[in-house]
Amino acid sequence: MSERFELPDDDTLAVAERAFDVLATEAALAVSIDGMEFGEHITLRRLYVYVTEARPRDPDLETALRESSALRAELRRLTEKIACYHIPELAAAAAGGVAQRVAPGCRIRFEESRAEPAQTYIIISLDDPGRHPRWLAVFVGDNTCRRVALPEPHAGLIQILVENDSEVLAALRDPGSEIFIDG
Amino acid sequence: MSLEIERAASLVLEAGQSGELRAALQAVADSTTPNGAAHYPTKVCRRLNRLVVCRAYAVSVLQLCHLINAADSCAPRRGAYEHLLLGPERATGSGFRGWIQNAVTNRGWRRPGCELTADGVAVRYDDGVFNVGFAGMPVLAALFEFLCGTIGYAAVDDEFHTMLEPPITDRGIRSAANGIERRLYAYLKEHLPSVQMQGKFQELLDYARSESKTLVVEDATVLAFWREKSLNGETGNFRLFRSVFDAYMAFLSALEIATDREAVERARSIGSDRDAGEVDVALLLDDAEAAALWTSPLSTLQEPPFENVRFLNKVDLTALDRLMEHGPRVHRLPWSLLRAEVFGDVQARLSQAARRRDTGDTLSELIACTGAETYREWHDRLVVLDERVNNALRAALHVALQADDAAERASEDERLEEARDVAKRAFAGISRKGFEDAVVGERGSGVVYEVGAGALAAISDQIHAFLRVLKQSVGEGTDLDDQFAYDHDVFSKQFARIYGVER
Repeated sequence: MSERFELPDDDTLAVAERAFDVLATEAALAVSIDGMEFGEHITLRRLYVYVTEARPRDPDLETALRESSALRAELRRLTEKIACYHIPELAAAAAGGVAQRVAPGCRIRFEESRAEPAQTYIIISLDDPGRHPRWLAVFVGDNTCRRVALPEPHAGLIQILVENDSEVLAALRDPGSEIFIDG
Repeated sequence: MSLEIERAASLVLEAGQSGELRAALQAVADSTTPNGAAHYPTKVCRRLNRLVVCRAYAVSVLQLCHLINAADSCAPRRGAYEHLLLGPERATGSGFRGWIQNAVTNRGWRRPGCELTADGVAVRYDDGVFNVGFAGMPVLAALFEFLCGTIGYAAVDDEFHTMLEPPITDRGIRSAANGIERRLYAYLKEHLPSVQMQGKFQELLDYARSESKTLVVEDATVLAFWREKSLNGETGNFRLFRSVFDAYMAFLSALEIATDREAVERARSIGSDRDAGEVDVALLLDDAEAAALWTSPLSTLQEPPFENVRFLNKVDLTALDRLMEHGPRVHRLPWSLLRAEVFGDVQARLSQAARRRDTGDTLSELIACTGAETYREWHDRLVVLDERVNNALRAALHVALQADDAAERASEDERLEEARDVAKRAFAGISRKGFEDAVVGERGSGVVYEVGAGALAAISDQIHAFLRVLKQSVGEGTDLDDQFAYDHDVFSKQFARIYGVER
């Protein structure tokens, strides 16, 4: 088999060369290259899913977040944009620790479990009882994020039972943390 | 960096992309829904790649800015446009339509100016109306993710934030689009250098140029080119025979496209620099694809809603990929396709073995092409594959016919009855997803299986056409076994030269 063409003029060859550039580049893009180390590229959508589907773990993303302050800042910015409630950092912590965090339309209290002293209830109450927020994210210090999937509210209250030494509880009680809740 | 990874990196860089750009595009393409399906259909990713590679993104960036305005208008709160662009399970036109319709039904528009139309959203400004279609929204969402991954979410969001400050005007929208374009232009200047600078086209052209003012591209040209260039470190990306084959297929396509004078004139007249007679290559390629007689039927089977039916298994899809991708164009270089399939596979395994630092024995066997599939075996496997394709076609027809009232009315035709029995038996013999009893007679399933059957028929036709071309070559005196023996010798010697073990 053979393909013969009359040699095209220079203009045609110039167009062909540009078309070839695009086709060759697209073909290279379509080639899967196993073993190439281009670095983990985290899409904004993956950050969105990380916050809004708070339940599943994403170890690769969590490692990337630990290592990149820019990525943590991006997660913080996105969370602030999509959250319904924002509880800012406290101006000053009361003596004896933080017992509650409050913002317009939303309050978070902490109550030790009577049945199990090593555990604490995080109780979220919203002014609008019709709302069912699905996630809560809390940012401390250098934009380190802790997030929790929220259960169905009962009688307008959302309750989560956590260990007293849990990272989420510590973050929520940190007067310097900022809390975001879906709505 | 191992030798093979270095080569793979050069493949990417020679194609004009930095690793970072490739990773950004790949991350968008790899994005999945919570149940593991691809978030963006393949067509959307290909469209995004073309916009970037051709630097033809200006109109899409402007459309994205108008979409952001519409998204903000129906978002739960001001500025929360991300819910629309990042939220839908799978980025499809109907998904975006559903999200926007629900938002408007539940909350209404937060401000005047937007209106749902049959095909999308009309956004009204003091100085005109801009329409954003639902069908184009998946590409715009992919572009948004790509922009966030390259020029940064903060930069993109800052432009949108300024744009959404009241009063929102068409001028403000255009200003944001220009700002984003400028940033993307700067990014691509660094990460997408022109391939023209690398002279790859010129090398292929010089090799094909004969003394009698003609270009000759034949199987022997491709093989000779690879034998010479695969040893030349400076030309880099010609070590892999498959890369050379792909380059020649692109070369033939490019020449075909460029010699279609009418299409070139159309692309020239509305080109980005009309006075200079510049040709809009993205438009030229889009036109050529739209007019082309051939589109890989595998791409149909891999797009929604057809991907929900496993017409063929993954192994078969992979085996057919190269033959289907190039379609009738590959009939011009049949032996090159066989070489890419058979010895290209050996070279791919050779690369993997080198990367794994396998023992000398394994490498030597691969270099010697020991155990390579023969051309006759490959040919026979294609015949078997064709039978499987036809079986899936019959099974798909069974579902399509059950859903077709007209076929029901014509059931007195004996031949049709016989065909229906054959189709029914084929259906019963397939246990893949989408071939369960429950789908037969299911409302709306007919079209999916009918289109799927059409794609399977096109696959079978292409297999038959290629087998005919091979048979014709054999008729011209080239025997499958003789050709394999000759190529086996050529490839094993060349692999020895490339991978440093002279025989």
